[in-house]
Amino acid sequence: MSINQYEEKEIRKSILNKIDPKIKAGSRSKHDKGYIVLDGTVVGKVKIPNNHDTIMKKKKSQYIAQDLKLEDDEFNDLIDCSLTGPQYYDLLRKRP
Amino acid sequence: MGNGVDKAVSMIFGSTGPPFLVGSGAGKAEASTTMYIDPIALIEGEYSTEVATATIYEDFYGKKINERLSAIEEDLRELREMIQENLRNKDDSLKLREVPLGQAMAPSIISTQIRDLPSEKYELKAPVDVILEIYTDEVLALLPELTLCGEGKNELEAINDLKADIIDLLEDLEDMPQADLGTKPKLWKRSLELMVKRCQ
Repeated sequence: MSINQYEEKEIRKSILNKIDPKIKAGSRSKHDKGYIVLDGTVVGKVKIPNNHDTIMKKKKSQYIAQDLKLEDDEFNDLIDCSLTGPQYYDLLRKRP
Repeated sequence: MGNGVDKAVSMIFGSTGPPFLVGSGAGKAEASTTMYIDPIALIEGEYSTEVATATIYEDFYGKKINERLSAIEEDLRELREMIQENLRNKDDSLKLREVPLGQAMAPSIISTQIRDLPSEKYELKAPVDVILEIYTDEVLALLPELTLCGEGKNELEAINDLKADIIDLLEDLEDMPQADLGTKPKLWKRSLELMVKRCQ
């Protein structure tokens, strides 16, 4: 399965609401950067999309999925609502 | 009709002659025994209609032209139906692919290098390879090693965004205690230290 097409704001909303990364203030670029903290350890980073209606380019979605340590279908589940925040962190604990 | 005409017709059409060569009642034309009927003259009534209609509708293969016309019309009808069917299918496939133009078209992918960073505090130790994905509506500048993706309306914007991402990541990781970094963040930090040096 490959990553579905989503609007940038859908991805932003899921990341902020479910993953709730630690946002670093003062980014030099146009996007906020977040860090994923699991049990006190920083395990990943994520570039948070802006609140736009535009369809996210597949490559950008792939990079975000990679940052979140998710397979394509897991990423789809995260955005499509079936993967909850706690379930996401459970998945992370099982990943090396 | 003289021998000269027969000879000319024979030279042009070969020994079988053209469809309008009328044989001696058999409908099979041979240059040596045929009479040439000028179609214009036939239309203008110079030839006996009776003779002409008896023979003109047979070609030199002996097959009636009416039958051949019917067969051609049938072929045309089938072709027309095939074309219409194909156009319908094409319309359907186009409807299925109704996505924004920038998404629908495959990007041009080129590789380039960045040689500096937009900061007086940092500089690159060596040029860094970057992949550019150029879409009609957006350009992505990718650094797969660090899963960094700069974006912009054009190549320059995308590259500048990527450079900003590199500095952001470096500074963020430097701000975090080493003990708090997981395996991947440690690897990113190590890669960045190899890539970037602080200016004095």
